[in-house]
Amino acid sequence: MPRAPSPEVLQGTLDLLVLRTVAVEPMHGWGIAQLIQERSEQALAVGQGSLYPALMRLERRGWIAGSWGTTENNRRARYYRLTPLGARHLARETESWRRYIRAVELILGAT
Amino acid sequence: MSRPLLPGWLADLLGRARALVRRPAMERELSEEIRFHLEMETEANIRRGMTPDAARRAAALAFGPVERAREEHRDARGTRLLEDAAADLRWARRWLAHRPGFTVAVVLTLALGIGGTTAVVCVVDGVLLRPLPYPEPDRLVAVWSLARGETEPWASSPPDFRIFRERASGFERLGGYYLGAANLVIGGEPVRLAAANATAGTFEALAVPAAMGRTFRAEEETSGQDRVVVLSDGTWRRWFGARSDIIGSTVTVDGAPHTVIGVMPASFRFPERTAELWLPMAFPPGDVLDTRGNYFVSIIGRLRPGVSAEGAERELGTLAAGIAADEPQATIRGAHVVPLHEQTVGATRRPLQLLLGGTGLLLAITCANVAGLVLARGAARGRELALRAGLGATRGRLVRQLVTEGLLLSAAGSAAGLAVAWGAVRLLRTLGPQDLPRLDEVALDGRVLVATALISAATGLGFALLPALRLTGGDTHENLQGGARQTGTAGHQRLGRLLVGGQVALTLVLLVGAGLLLRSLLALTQVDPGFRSSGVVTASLPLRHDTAADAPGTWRFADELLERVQALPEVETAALTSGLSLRGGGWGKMVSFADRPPPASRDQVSTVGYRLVSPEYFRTLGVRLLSGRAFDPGDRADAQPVALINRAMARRFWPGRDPVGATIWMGPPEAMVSTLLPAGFRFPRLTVIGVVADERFESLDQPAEPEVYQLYAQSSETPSALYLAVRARGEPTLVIPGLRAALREVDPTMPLAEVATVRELMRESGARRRFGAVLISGFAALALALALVGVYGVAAQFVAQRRRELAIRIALGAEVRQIVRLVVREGAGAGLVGGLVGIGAALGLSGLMRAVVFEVRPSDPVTYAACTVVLLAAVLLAALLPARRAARLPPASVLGSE
Repeated sequence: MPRAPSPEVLQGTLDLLVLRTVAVEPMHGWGIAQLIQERSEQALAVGQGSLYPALMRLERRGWIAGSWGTTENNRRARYYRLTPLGARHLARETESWRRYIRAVELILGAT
Repeated sequence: MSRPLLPGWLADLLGRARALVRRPAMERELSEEIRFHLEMETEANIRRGMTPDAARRAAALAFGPVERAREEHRDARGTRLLEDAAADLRWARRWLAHRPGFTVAVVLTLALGIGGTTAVVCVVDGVLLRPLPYPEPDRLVAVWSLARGETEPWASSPPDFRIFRERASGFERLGGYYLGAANLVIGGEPVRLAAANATAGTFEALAVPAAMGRTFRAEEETSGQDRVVVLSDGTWRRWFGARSDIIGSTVTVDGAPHTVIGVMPASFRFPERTAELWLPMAFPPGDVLDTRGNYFVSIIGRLRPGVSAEGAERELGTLAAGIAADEPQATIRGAHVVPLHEQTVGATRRPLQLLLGGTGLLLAITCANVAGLVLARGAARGRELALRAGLGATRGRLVRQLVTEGLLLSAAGSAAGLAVAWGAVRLLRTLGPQDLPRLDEVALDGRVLVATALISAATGLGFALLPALRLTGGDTHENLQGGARQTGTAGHQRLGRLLVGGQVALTLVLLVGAGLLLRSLLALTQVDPGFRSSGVVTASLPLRHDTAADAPGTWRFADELLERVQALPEVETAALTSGLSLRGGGWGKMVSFADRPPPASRDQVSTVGYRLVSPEYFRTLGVRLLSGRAFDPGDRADAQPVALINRAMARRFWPGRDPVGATIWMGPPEAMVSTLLPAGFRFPRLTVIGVVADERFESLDQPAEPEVYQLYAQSSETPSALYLAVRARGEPTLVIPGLRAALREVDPTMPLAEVATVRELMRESGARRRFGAVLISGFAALALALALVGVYGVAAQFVAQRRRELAIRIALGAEVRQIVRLVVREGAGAGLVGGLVGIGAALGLSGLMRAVVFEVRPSDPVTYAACTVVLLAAVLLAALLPARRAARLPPASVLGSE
């Protein structure tokens, strides 16, 4: 078993992070994993193996769309981008996530 | 992509469908993505300064187990269930194909269970559930009159019908009709066809137009304008060669030329499927039929939208009360309105429901039986299942696989069952009782196929789920170690015993049902019909409308015919009668007695059956004379009119006394109706000269009603029907050509109709009862066979699983008797308990049988005892077979082989 260097990302959160990541520009699986790790200042580690089922799930729901393209080094990779449906979902989820964080902070701040 | 925004669920569904279609491509793509990912990660690691080997290892470690990612990916596609099902199905097919004996046994059992159920569902659907084949059938009702002093609704009189039709506002249309027969001359040949006289409203109420031409118009109800006829599709094809120019042609009906104005569609079967043509309902002025008190017009109505049958009944009741108030001679007191569907099929509901219940039981037994087979098979699979569980298959997954197997089996069983059902429905349609309404509408169609699919799915779940839960419930470790020999022995045995006990209980319920019906049949054959049935031929004689009103003419014709028939060498005696047992022509008349004070009001005047007969009637039909004398040649037209009465009449009106010599008349006391009668009118006084045995008039299972017989020579009445009965010297059917010839000599335009021996009439009378009894007995026999297989299976399985133990016992010197007892107790024990439960269940359900048994109590102890004994004997026998085999086990080879 690989030891997780950082807390494993919860599944629902992983979906949100992936959507946010591909919202900027189309990206392949490895890139998504890297970006999530970097942006979170290494605090969050994506279990890399579980990224692909998540991508499949998001694609099935029509939130992202995958297509084959080439990298700068001329390698074939599957790029994922956000669909309009996905954008709507991302907006809704981000909002509810922020509300949640605020609520938690309010309680934590009160003590 | 510019895909429009889809609702989330639809996008999800499309995604799943795409995943299903692109399955191989997706697997390939996933591999490629994973390879790319690992390469990128490895390169990144190398850039961070690792050696290539370490970089690859680190990348693989960071990724985690590739297979798990693949599995999760497959799950994420959302097509898992379907893919598994397909795999299960392939697996099940292979598994079953390698066990042909088991598969064939299960499929055959299911075919019988599902096929039988489908056939009965088909009949119940066609007869009971399907709406009548008319537009908006919910608004169709039958209307009946309640006459004074009668508790049973009855047909209506023509004048009352016309008042209903004119005044009732709750009906869109009211139509009146009555059944009869018509004599046609087609191509020079006299033909007698079943006819219905109907008003224009009958067809309008049903809202069925003619297929060709038209139906009746209101003005054709007037005598003189009524020389028109509407043909049934069958009549048009059979007698008129389906001529397309039939409309407008002329055909002789009852001696008068009639114009054919219409042909009905083939699907139109009203009032009965036997109606071959329709004539207008018209009465000549002054016709005795067209009076109050002659209740023979059946009424059908189409309610206005929003009007209920109850509302219509209230309105007609008010009208009836109005008639009773306005017209002193009217006897109508109320009306009864019944939905036409109820009217048509109401009487068959209970028997059909019982039949459906019977098939339900049979299906349950089938399920239990197959479940037992599957369980027994499954015992040998314990190891396979345990292995799969050990490799990570969840319990739900294993249950799903076993249930898939069950569904596959039940699907195969249903396919075979449909063939069984198809044959059964064809058989039912030809052999079923012809008086079962709508039998010809019964067909295997989409509705029934859907029902079969549901039955099949329920059956598959029913017999697969229980064993599946049982088989997968055990301890994996223990199963793996113990292998097939030990697998969940106690649990399997318990479930197996439960299944067998259930089967035996259900079988007993069916057996008791069949036993009660068979005893009813037996009781029916022992009913004294009141006449001697052998050697008698009967036929119905045409009474022409134009001569019906002319009594002397009718009787001259009758006398002449009777004389010729009597002269035939094959004929012993012959008789004519206005009404014939099991045939029809029932005629009720009021009766008054000279030897007792008149009743207080007209409502209290009694009504009895009345028949006009020729002198030889009793000798011909073999009706015994119980006291007094029979008619004799001295009872001439000009002599004192005499009457014979039946025993029911003697008992009702002269209990404990001798009625011979009493004086009666057929009518109310004159003083009560003096305003309606000519001055000084007296009903003819009849002297009762004797008492005869009770004839069962309606059918053998109806009690005899009081009857008065009078010689037609001494009466001025004309009957509405006339029957010929002939006692033959030899084989009864041999006299028929002679009868036809005699009739031709008297009147060449008259056909002899409805020729049948009394034996045939008696068989027909019991047809429906026999049909039900035969069907239920068939079910019971099938159930018994299945239950025996079940008991045998449990005992045999017990022997198979305990071979070792039994062999050791034998080796240690156990006696044959002990071994047999051990196995029989295992196999038959459950059966015995099941039998007890079955007796309780049958007793609990016996109330349902009340409506269909005859002279047998639904809790008849003899039937219960006999069924129980038969069942338990059979159960013991079925358990004994494996027991004896067990006792003969050669211990050395059994123990050596393990």
